[in-house]
Amino acid sequence: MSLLEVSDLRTYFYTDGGIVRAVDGVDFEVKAGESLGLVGESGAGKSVTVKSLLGLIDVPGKVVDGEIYFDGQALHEMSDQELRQNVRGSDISFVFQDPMSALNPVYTVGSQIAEIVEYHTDRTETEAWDRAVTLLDDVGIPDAEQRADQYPHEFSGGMRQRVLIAMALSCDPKLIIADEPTTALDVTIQAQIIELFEEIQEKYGTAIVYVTHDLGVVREVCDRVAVMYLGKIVESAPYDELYQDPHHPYTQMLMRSVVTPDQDVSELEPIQGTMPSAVDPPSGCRFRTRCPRTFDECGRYEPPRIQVGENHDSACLLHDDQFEKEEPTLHLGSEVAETNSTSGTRGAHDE
Amino acid sequence: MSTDTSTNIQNKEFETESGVLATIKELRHSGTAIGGLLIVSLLLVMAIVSTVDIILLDNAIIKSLFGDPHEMNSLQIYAPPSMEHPMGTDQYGRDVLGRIIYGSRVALAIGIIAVGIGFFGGVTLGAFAAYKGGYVDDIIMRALETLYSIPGLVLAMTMMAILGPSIYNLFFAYGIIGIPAYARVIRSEVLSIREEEYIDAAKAAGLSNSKILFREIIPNGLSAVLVQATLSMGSVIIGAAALSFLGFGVQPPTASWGRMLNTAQSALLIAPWVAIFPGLMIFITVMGFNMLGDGLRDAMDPRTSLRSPKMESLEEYADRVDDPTKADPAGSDEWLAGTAVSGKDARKDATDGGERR
Repeated sequence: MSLLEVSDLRTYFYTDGGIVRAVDGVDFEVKAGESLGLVGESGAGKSVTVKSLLGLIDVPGKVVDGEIYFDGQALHEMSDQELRQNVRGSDISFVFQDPMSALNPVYTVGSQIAEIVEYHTDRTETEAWDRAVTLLDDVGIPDAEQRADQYPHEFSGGMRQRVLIAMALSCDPKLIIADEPTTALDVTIQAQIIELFEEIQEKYGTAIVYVTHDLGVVREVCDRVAVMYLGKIVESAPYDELYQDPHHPYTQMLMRSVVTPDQDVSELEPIQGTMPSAVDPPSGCRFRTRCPRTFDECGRYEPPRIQVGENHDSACLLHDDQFEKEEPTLHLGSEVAETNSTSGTRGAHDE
Repeated sequence: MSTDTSTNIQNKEFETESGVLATIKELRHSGTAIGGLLIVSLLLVMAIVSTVDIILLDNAIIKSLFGDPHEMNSLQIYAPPSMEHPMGTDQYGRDVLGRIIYGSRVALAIGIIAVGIGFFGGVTLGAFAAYKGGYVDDIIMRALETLYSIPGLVLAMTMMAILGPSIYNLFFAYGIIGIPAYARVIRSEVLSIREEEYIDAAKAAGLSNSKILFREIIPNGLSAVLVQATLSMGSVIIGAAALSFLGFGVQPPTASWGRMLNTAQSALLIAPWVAIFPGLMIFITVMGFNMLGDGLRDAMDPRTSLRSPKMESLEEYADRVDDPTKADPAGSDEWLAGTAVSGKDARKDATDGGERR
């Protein structure tokens, strides 16, 4: 059974410029102890998706539809107060992107962790403080006992991110949502934090949803990856499979735009164009405006997520038998055509 | 370990004020603020001594020094300042200095209590309005702005006329009048702090709204309101004196500076000392609070530094290098000695340069 099951989640923002469909029908699941990478470019709706899970969307945003089941509880039916008391910080905790601003500057880091422990558990002040020190020690902060008594400005960025992770671990959550936790850090520190996440997963068996735009980070941490584009998940697969055999044109292009050590920079292919506005998304497939293999039907049907392998699905009409014969028409480079034929046959086979 | 921890926890409340404490430390670099602080402390001492004197010692101290400030002496009416009465006597032959010292009690009490009411009322209302937003914000803030639009003295007089003249009503009236100003200051602070990521983090950690508001947001916005409080202390004292002068405030025979001015006006020509000294005291007190408030404001403004950067930092630097315990343990002694000399030289140069100019 899955720990977290999300189906048809829709979160819209009601702005003066129109309704922004930031998350528009997202389905995914996370098994206990599993780590899922939620990948996509800026504005794809990754952060909004994970914030919606905990009801952390502020006005003018609103979760308009969808079902969220976590560990047998229906989160979408819970009131704000129920979420606060039973879920946020205790069962599901959050690690934010910018460690520089996610800690309150007027309290010592120890007391910030102890506050959460005290709030969610029966521990006394002293016990909560001891717990905070233990946690800081666990996440690799040297001299945890002294450091607990210091203020956030006395910590470096990487150390603060460790503090935030300690805070997230404070009430033994079943799921940690990490919203781009390494984006604001420099590369060497990133590696340390990623390592820490791996350790945590090994040690506590906590499930992790790892939001990032960095496919390299995903490789290190995640068992499974879901690729998001403009409010929808376009492809989902175990990491290795996705890496070796991406099906969705967007994922393929995403893979090709990432720098790998054994690659010539001249081979890098940026994805042309920008993501369309979520106020007025393209009809049918949302990626069609930038897709090199788009054809007429793309604008007519919204592609369903088609099973293309075990635990692997991709939302593209190319995988559907019905359209397989259609010749891809526009902007088709030879390399793309090659990948196309393999993925096309494979998709057809599985269908 | 356990004792350590418990001390840590006990100190927690104290440490939460670190932003405020740091500001107060910064104040020592400002001459004005120190001057203000001296005046305010002097007043505080006067007020505390006279309170102790009244409650515990039955006016023993004041009697032994200048005579009972409430005791009338028909032989000494309008006596000019002398050794016996350094500030003269009033129309009942009461010692003016004694009454001024006793009056400091009333002035400070009004300042502190009225500002306290305004401070807590304003901070709670303003922060609540900002945090809730929407129509709650609109209703609270429009109501407070309506209150704000009426001149303070007129509002105070109206309230005193309705409630009846007494010192407690005076506290109350000026407390209410102060609320909008604090509410507006804290509201703008909360509006910006609310957007900080640590507030999102607190929400994601499941803390309740009230906990987020009072534990996470308000402590971060408190310094700005503190400046407002210190600055308005002076105007509240003036306002209260004005009300007493007009007969709405403190009632006789309680000594109050405003009241003293009121009774002194009939004899302004023959006994100016009866009016001058209370007036002077009001002036000094208000100036003291304003100087302190100005210093606080400068200390909290990140764009201004109260230290004169060149001189102070070099001096500190030289001190630091002179003191081997504070010096960098990794650095060699030779290197340290070299910098110590150069540090001092540089400081001397700076001083010389200043003198030449």
